[in-house]
Amino acid sequence: MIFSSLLFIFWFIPIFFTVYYLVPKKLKNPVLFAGSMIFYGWGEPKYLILLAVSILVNYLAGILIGRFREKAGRLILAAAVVFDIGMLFFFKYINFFIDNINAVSNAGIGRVDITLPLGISFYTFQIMSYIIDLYRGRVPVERSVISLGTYLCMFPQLIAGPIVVYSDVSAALASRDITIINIREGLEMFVLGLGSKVLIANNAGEYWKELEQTGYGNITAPMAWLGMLAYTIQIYFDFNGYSMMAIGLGKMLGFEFPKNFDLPYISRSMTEYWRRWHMTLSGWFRDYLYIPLGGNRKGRYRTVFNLFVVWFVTGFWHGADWNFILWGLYFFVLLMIERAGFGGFLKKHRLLSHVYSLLAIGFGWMLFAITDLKLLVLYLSRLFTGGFGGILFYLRNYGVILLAGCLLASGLGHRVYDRIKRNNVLNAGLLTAVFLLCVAFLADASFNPFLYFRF
Amino acid sequence: MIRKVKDNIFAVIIALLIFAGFAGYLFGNDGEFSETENRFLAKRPALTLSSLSDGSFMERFELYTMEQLPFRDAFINLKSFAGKMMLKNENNGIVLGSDGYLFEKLISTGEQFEKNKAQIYDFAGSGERDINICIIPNSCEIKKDCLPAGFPGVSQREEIEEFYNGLSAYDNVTVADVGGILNEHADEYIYYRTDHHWTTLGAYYGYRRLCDVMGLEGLDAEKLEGQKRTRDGFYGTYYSKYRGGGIKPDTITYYDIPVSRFETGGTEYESMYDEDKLETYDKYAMFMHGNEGLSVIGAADDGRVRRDELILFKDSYSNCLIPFLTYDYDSIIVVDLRYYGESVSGLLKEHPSADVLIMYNFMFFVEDNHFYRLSG
Repeated sequence: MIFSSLLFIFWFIPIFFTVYYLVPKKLKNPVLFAGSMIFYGWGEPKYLILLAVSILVNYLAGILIGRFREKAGRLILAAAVVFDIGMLFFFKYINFFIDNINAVSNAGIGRVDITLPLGISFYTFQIMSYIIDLYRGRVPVERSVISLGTYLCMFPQLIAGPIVVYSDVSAALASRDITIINIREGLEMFVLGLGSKVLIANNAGEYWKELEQTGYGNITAPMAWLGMLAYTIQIYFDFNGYSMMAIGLGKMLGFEFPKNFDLPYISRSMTEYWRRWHMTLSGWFRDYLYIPLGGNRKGRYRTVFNLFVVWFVTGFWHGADWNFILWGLYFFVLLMIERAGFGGFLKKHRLLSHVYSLLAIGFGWMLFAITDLKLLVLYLSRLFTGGFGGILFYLRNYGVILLAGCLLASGLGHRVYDRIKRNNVLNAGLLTAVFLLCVAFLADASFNPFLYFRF
Repeated sequence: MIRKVKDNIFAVIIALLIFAGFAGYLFGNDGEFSETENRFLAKRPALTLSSLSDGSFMERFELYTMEQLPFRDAFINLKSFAGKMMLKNENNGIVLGSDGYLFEKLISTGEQFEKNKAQIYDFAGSGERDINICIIPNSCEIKKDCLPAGFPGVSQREEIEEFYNGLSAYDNVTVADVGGILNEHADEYIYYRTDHHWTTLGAYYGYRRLCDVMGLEGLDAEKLEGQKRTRDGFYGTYYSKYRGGGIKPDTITYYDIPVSRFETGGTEYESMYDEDKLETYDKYAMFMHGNEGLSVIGAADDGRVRRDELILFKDSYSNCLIPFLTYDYDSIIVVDLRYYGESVSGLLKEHPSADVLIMYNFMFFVEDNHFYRLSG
């Protein structure tokens, strides 16, 4: 199930939250667990078993690590991590490796017929945070399998993040208060996130889809630039919209999830950008990969190597294809250049730093969006050699929505909204309008994609 | 207390809306048929063990939530209105031009088009039989003066020309290029503004071109003035997708042409026209009583000298053209491949001396996937 659907809004929310709020405290986790199973199993019930196995294995590993710290604990941790990554590797990457081995040799290995289990990249990282932090002694052993299961498959963040590490929510899992203020703030966040996804991301994304249908060989330079802008807008409002909905729903359940985006497009360098974009993912890689590798404490060359590994894996995490790896390494190169002194230059030149950052981000998204490398080169060449024309119709149909996206992404929207919020009636009017418009666009939806099926 | 209610006012409204929607699904009556969209709506599926285990229940339930949303029509109109507020002139692939004309946008042709062309070539090359082929361009190709600025899409003229060029390899094929005559009359009311079909006037010009190409005597429409009937208030398929206010309805014109026999889908009727359909939303379905796999028309016994038989493979564009052809053939056998399950080669063998005409509108020719039946 996805949040941006009439099914979720008009069936799942009323039924689930009614039950959840009515049951006594000690039944809230089991209800949340069961509700999450229905949420996840709705689309692909067969992968529920994978989730269950993951919970059980890590639960038992946790119990064992609690009992045998030291040496044996280390082995158990290693086994659990190998298991978690192994599952992710098999279900997400096996065919990528088979294809590439076949391409360089005559091995002719047959592909494995699997579809990617929804959210596997997210929940694998979440459960690893538990088992690793447990070994490090940062969190206590979770003795209730229901609690651990609730943590792992809680429906708000299960399929598209934010990546909530166990230590963020372990206290709330055991006991949490649900207040009217939380429900109100959560609902507000949910509606704004829904609007972000349905009204802005979907509408901007329609233009990108249109370019794909036109064929990159047939587009002009202004169409290509507008496409880059549209995709840049789409992915931010989609992803951030999802995160906002997740955070909002979490609040309504009594949880406090970490922020995932902090106006990434106002960044003045890629270093800053990655502190503002998908913050829970970069945080995870910092805590569970970069620092364990030695971070920046083992000398200059080792630091560069560590960063290389982190960005390689970051790219690869986003999808099992070369273009995603390329996308990760692209940021590695830019970050290296900024570290080497370009960062200092950017600090001094305000306008230039914004132009550089937006272009770097936009180009990055093209690497991300176009999986086929030949098509990617074709698209990038159209940016400069595509000729003029063909843009009028699209400017008229997408101009307003893209402009609105730009203004909101610049932080202006936030400032205006903070004003509006001071007036309850105005705020209620705005949120009701956003909600009704979302329902209208969902009711007549020809285009409502879920972008993270590759993650 | 008052303060508290004020703080929570939006939350109360949203919660009420969500629960009202839920209650609407639970207790409201499921709509059966959407007139504006001309189709049956999905109903709440029954929960069974097998539908649950193969996932079909979930799929059908999601479809049901889409199609039975309380106040669905109002929401769809709201979306159209919001689009206008964003200055859009496109909704669901339909674009508003000038003079109240709506157009369908076709950005690219896909693999299906290549297959369809190949299947027609195969059919042309498969027998000695002479065949006539006509691809009718759609309104966006002809009503260029009404197109909005920068209207994107494939050039139908070029695509049709290329297809015809491919046909020149077959000696038994004659093409009836109707684009020229339609262009000459482009400023007339030859396409509906709110529907994807050509008007009866457009069809008449197409008919005149067919007559020239196929060597038919043809009938002058002036002779039919006395039999002319019209009906206003027609909103077609383009409007169903575009929606919203401020769009003028179309007028349907038809000629009360007598026939000696009219059979379609296994039922005999007095007339080629189903005038009851004029009282419904889908008024165009009055021509030929809609689309059926096989229809047979016997010309009126008026002493006029005609050719024997015509076998026509067609889509709904032909439905308003066929009445004119009854002045040129004693018998017309009309095949809609979408609904025709019998053998086409068998039918051709049964009527060895009948003329053969394949006539489709461009969009249909690009997208339909039933042309394989020609070789069945």
